[in-house]
Amino acid sequence: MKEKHGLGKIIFIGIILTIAVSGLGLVFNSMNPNGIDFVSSSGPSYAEIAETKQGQSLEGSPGDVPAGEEIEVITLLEAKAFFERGEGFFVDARSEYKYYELHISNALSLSASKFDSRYEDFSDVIAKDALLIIYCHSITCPYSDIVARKLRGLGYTNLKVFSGGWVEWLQAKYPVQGFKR
Amino acid sequence: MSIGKIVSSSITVTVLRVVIGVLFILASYSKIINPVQFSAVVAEYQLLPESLIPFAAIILPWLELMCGMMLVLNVFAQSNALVMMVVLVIFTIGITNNLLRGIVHDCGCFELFEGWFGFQDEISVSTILRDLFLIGLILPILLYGSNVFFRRR
Repeated sequence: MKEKHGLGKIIFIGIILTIAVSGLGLVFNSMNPNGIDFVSSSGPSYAEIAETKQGQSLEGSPGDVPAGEEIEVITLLEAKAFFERGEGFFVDARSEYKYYELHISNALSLSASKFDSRYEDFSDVIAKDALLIIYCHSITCPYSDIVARKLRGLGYTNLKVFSGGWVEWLQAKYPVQGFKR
Repeated sequence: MSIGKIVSSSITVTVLRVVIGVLFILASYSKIINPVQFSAVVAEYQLLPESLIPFAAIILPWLELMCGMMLVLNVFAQSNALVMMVVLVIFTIGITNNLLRGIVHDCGCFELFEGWFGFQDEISVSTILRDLFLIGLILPILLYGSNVFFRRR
């Protein structure tokens, strides 16, 4: 015999299930080595994160970066120095829409979320030993790290992450371009 | 036999439960393993404030996995169908909104299939139609499924 249930009960159980599953997901994330780090996303202040992140190197992530190799994190001033000397390529890891709105002058787009579909074109024109300075929105965004680790895993050897990213560059009033300019 | 009777039959509902459940379990796998990558995709939808994106990137794949498993096992099938339908409707609105603004990005829908078959799954009109089709397949479970934890025989 088929049980009949009102919409109210179906919705109520659905809400309870959603809450329970959310808790399960958050607990699993805290144990997942590849999980999202909430400490750097919402905990300490911008200045605290900047202090700890700048000058450090990104540690390898399983599957992306070969063990023992690290990616250097650089400051705004170091990034500006590379820019002025015309050394290397700036790589924008934000969404392509954000890139087309405004980006660091002459930067290339390699969005973290479209990495797999854009990598082939990217690798056709950028040599594996080219200096790449990768940035995303700000020091708390993870996309430059994602792109840097994937590129390192694919054989790119000369990588630097500009941790302050787009926000620092814009605030410093350094050269930008895009259709919003 | 009328279409209504076929759609509401227990065999149809059972087949749909298993098919949809397995589909969502497979869809959840890579997102659960690497939520950071998925958070980049969630951010592209531009539906949530920056602070909520990590939570969505963690919770959504787990909803897919657990709701998928419970659909297969016929545990609270109607409630799970409702949750999956809400998630699909939200994604469909996000995809439609972005396409109307000319923003194309990864769908973040079935990443495991990209790995297996090399599919590059970007949002498009066909993604919207696929989501609407899935919503259509879930509807009979919501309307005619059961909503008990354990069915006594």
